[in-house]
Amino acid sequence: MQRLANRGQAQAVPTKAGAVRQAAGRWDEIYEHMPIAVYVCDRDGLIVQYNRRAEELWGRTPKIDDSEERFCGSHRLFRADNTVLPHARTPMAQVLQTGEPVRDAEVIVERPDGSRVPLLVNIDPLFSDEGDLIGAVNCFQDISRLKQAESHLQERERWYRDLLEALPAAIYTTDPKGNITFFNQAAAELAGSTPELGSDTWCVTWRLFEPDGTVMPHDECPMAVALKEGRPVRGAEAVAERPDGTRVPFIPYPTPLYDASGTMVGAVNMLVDISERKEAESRQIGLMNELNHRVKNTLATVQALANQTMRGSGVSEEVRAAFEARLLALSRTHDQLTRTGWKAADLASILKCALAPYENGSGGRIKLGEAPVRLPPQAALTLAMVLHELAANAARHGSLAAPDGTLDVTWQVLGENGARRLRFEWQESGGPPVEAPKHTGFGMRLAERSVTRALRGSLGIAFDPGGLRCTMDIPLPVST
Amino acid sequence: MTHRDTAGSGALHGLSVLVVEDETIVSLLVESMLMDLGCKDVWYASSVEEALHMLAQRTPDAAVLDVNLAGETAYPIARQLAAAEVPFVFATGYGAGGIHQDWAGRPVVQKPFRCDMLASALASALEVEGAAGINR
Repeated sequence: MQRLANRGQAQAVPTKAGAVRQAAGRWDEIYEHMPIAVYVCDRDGLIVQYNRRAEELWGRTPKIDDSEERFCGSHRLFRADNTVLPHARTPMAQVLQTGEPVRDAEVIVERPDGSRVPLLVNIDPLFSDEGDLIGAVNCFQDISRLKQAESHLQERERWYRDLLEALPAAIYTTDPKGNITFFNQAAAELAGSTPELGSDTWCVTWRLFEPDGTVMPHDECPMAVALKEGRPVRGAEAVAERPDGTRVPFIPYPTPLYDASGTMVGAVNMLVDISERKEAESRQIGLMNELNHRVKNTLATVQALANQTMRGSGVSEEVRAAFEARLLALSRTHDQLTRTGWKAADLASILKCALAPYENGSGGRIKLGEAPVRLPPQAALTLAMVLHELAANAARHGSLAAPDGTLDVTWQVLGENGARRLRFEWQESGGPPVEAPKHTGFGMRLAERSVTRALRGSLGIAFDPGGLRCTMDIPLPVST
Repeated sequence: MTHRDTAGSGALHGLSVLVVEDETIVSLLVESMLMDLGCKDVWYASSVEEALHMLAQRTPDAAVLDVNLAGETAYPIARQLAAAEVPFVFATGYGAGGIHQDWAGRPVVQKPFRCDMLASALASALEVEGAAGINR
């Protein structure tokens, strides 16, 4: 419209002030019906013409050609930052001075009743056929709604930022290329330095390491993986090094973000500091080691006490050795459980432990199964002592007492999840002829009671002449 | 099973061995094991200070060190022994993982131990120190 008006005026009017008014007059009707406010000033800034919408927005009716009403018909004007804008410095005054148009300037008009309206202003200079500046036309519109929406949006954005700032977890966001676009205070604290928006990428941290201490390049960190592969990454763990050298173990939760059309627009990452958990874990390991150390020292003391008591008291060397072997079997099982943090022990390693004193490097005479079976601590201790008694018996009277004797140990897990059973078989052969003992010794009584009572299973011992055979059937807990 | 049939016993015959152990009853057991293995002499110290004092006066042929001596570690004694090229073994309830990495590779016996376990640990200590002596 401005261009049309401009051209119309330029073609129709040969002389300056009067000609402009005449040209403007031809568009009066159109101006009047436009939802946009329009007014025209002459070269000196005198208001030549304005439409109804301009009158509404100004809230007043300025006089035409009044030298007191130059450049603008408003009561008072303010800049967008609410500072006073004198009429002589308005965009219109500027256009008349420079001859250059003004685009999308924002000003605030104050009406005589004190109400204020934000305006978007566009001004074009008007030229004569000879190219002389003869005036300017100003089209302006009420942008109250736009401003309200804008400030509402800003409010919401601030609300979300405050929300993220208030969270104690380190949070930051990146664009799709991994450039950091936002971080909260907790993120800066975890990183130990303030990230540089615009230059820092992938992660707010200074340096990154794997939990085992090897260097993790930033562009291979979990956030980079999430962005490059477009999927949330869970279950990762890393260590951040701050510029001051301190290290923080943390769990990241990088998650890609998408817009309404499904395009990835970046990602958000939350870094959870797990220092306290790690410290608790290492304290627990320390305590466990200390406990083990004390138990071992106590066992050593018991061993020493027994040894000193038996020495020179007529007790046979065989008895002393049997006692010592039992004590050491208990001690070794203890080691095994300590290694797994008293969670569980593997049947094969318990067996190897029990047989270790008798293998003697004679290799091949002992065959062990391999099926993995995890036993809870108490069951492991109980079974370890039973296996020690079997091994000791084999070494004293059974197949391990003969150079060519062999031992074959096999087992399998039977049944479904809820009712799993361990079927265990110990077969000796090639030893001296087996005879059933006349009375039941401590070892057999221990085995019998341990399996049937403590482990709630069944035990069968067959004194076959060719070799002792022991079978066990033990229920396994659901979780193993 | 007997405890006097190991390869180590011969190697230990006639040696003077320093035992550093803060549990008196355990020290008695170690002492009797060493005597069973044919050692000539067993010296006993219950603390780092006592052991270092003893080493300032005479040098044993080998040593058995409890790693944890009433809250102190036996490493100052180990350094003294290593400097004097005396073979030694660590005895500990912590196991091999409980030894400081500076001393990794030194023979360790885990408490409680049998006589033959002590004998073979000492025998390998004598080999290690012997080999090191040749290299020097």
